[in-house]
Amino acid sequence: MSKVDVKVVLLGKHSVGKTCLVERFLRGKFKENTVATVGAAFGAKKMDVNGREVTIGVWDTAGQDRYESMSRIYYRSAKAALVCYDLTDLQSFEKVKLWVDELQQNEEECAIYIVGTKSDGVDVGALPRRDMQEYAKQINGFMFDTSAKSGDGIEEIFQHIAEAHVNKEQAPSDKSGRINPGEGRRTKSGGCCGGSAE
Amino acid sequence: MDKGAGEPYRKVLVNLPNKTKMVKHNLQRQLDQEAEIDTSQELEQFHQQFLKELQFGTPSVGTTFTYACFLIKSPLTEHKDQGIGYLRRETILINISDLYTELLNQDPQNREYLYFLSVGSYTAGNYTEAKTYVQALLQIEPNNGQARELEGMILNKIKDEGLVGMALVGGAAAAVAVGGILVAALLKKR
Repeated sequence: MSKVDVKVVLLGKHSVGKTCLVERFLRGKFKENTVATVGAAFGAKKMDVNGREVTIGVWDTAGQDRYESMSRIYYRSAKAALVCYDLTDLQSFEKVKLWVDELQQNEEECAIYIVGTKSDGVDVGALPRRDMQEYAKQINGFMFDTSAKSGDGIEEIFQHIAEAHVNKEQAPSDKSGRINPGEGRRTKSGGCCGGSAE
Repeated sequence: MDKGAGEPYRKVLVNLPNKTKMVKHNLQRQLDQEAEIDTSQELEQFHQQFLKELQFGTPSVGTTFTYACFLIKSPLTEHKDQGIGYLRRETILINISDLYTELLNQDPQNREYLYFLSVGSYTAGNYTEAKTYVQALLQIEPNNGQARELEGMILNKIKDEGLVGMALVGGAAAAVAVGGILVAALLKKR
């Protein structure tokens, strides 16, 4: 069994669609009637970065409040966190801030991806998100919009994470373990599907 | 240099069986990895919380639940048994009349009790018990992918144990048969 190169964790309010996002990434399909995750679920997938194989291990956590004290053990030593909120319910962004605070306190090395879900259900351009974009910039995080239904934006996030991992390995002189947002944006332009970052 | 030239063949030979195993059970990988996460601090924290609440009567469902989950994750078997005990007590307390049919209506948490009860029983090696819990959960939630995967793992273990049992019985039968032939041969000889 191949070992995991990059540990990724999904966090966010319940029902925003974390499990569907992971399902789309791992199996390439949209699973309807998904039930609430119990505790956490793990999955892994190999990705290719310019011929290099990178195994991404994804921890999908339960969003219910009662699991909050347990989620800490899942984001421990994660290289990237996908902190998710529902684009059709912007109230769910409140939870994002709580998770980001916690990550910044406990996992300095962890790159933060603020991920909007269900982009197929809303006119993304018309959303009042100035504050959120401001916030993402302020915490040095990445912003992505995704749809598990159509697949938009999802492969891109994980490709971005995998590339950042390879770049970091190739440039060990960079002592800050953090993925550099500037670098990320440059590598990302090679992506295919539209409608993602910022 | 010589070594390098031989490398690709060896690599292919070694990699092939690994690849076929690749997608097998994510849940098994999860359990293996979870076992490696050090949760002793959290366990201690909720242990203290549980004891504190116990002094004032029955500990809250939330504390009991979280404490039990950390107990299940603990590598120590006596902890595991305790964890299953607390969860079981909760389940029975809440669903004393009809454990399997009204579970979800009465308390949405029960799906979680059943799941963790099953996982706990599985990791403790009580496969028949694990099967009972996970199948009860699947009756309530047929779409639960985590439970489906868990059920598959449990059934595999039960099948494996059955095969081992059969091999033992089969071995005994073969020994008897061989004995019989020997006796027959001896008798003939006489």
